[in-house]
Amino acid sequence: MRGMKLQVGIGSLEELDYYLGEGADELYCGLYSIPNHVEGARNFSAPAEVIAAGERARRAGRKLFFAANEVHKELLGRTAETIKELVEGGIDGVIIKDLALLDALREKKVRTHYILSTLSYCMNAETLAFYSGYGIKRVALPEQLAPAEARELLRNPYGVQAEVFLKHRECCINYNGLCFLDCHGGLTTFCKRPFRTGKDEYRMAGPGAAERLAELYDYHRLGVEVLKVGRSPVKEASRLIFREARQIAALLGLGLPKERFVARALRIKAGFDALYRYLGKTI
Amino acid sequence: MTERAVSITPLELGALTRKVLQGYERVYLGSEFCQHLLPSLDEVRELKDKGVKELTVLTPLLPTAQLRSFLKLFDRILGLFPGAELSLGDLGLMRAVNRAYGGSVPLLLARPVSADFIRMDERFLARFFSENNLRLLETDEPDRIAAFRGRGVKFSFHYPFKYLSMTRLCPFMKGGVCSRACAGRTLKIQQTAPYRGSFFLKNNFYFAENRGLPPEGVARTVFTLAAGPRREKLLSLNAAARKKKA
Repeated sequence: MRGMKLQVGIGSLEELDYYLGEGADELYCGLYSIPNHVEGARNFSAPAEVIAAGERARRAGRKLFFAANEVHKELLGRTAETIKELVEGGIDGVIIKDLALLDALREKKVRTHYILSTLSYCMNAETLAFYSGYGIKRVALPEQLAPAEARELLRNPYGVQAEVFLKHRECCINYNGLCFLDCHGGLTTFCKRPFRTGKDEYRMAGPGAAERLAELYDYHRLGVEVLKVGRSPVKEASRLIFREARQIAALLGLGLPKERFVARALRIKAGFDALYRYLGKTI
Repeated sequence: MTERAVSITPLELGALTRKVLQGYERVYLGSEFCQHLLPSLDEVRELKDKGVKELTVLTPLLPTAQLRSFLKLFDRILGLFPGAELSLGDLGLMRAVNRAYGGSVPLLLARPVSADFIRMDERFLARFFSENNLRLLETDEPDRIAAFRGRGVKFSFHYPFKYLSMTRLCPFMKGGVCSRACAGRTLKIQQTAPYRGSFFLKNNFYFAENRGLPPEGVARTVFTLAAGPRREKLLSLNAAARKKKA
């Protein structure tokens, strides 16, 4: 049984080289001038830099995608032109959320590997059919969708593939693309803060790691091929998550029964927990 | 002329008295946030028995099985309310309904998905609405309505709850099972030091308050009944007082 391909977000050529060396199969990046959904992440400065990164990835036999997964009507024309330039420059695909942008790119006849952002909430087979009409070739599954609910969507007749995040590390408690809570600031996000309701403490509930890892196992069994690591505001954190993802992806490739996979993945996680704690104290 | 509507979840059907109904031309039933708060046929029938003439069914994001199941239910709802509107929180449902009914069911684009659309290019949006049989964009963002420069898209304005976020990990669920324990409950959530401020939880969504009155020029206003029927009157009085003072 094969493991999963690893995709990771980068913000510089230095990070590109690091992850190429570490065995990433796919990489993605953004530009400061084009809206993309990530909190405090590093982006590239100019399209030429992205094109250079794409060439370097291609020489290494890997792929580079460009993230333009926010909606911003004032920048629609510039975003479409930039994507056209990047596609002509050889990048391998684009991660998109904005339907108006997909429509504009279709009008401009920009043909590339379009990936629907997880923020677009493709929750069902009908939504997938809708987006496949816009040329979507892959969908980043919503973090809130359970594998059993995604079964039909994953067996779609349009050849649309899927990718998932390493959710026990990177997953919003709420619907992240539809969230207006004020989520600024490095390592502490709004939804992880302690709140009060009268005299009681209130916390926004999230699922446990075992549940998330069991979901990952099921997604892999359902044919999801790509495990995605997002862009953390702290590049060392991204590197840790990538290394953890790599070990877990390899574990999936062993074809273990689900319970044994989860137990061993939790041991991997426990080892990395200590490293994250150390990182938290040192930055 | 602005149409006046009132919005309720099935849990609040009891609060919808004939007296309350007198003030509204249309009732929204369901939830644009929670898949467990879609109405049953009996609940829709109850609405009919209370004398409701115009119905809009609110729907959230739906996984495939729930979407299919809702389509069957909606077909039966149309038997009770042949002109029922559907407020969609899911583009897949939009596709499915348009394919099933050939554009004869009036569709609206619901919150929170509409928050992305109101930020999209206006010319695209007008074409998208026209191509997909969408009649209204539902929003609670008055500043976005004011900033909208295009034509061809009409708005309905929801108040006094302003959406902030929603979750599938509902705090009211026990062991992953929904027993609609959220009925009648709105929690005020306060931030702790060093942060300040508060917001609210109702059902599975977090919200703040829209304190002003609906902006001018909207096609419809939708008042959330759970805010308390007197709340709307208070808002109007406050707004009138402010206007007079100004």
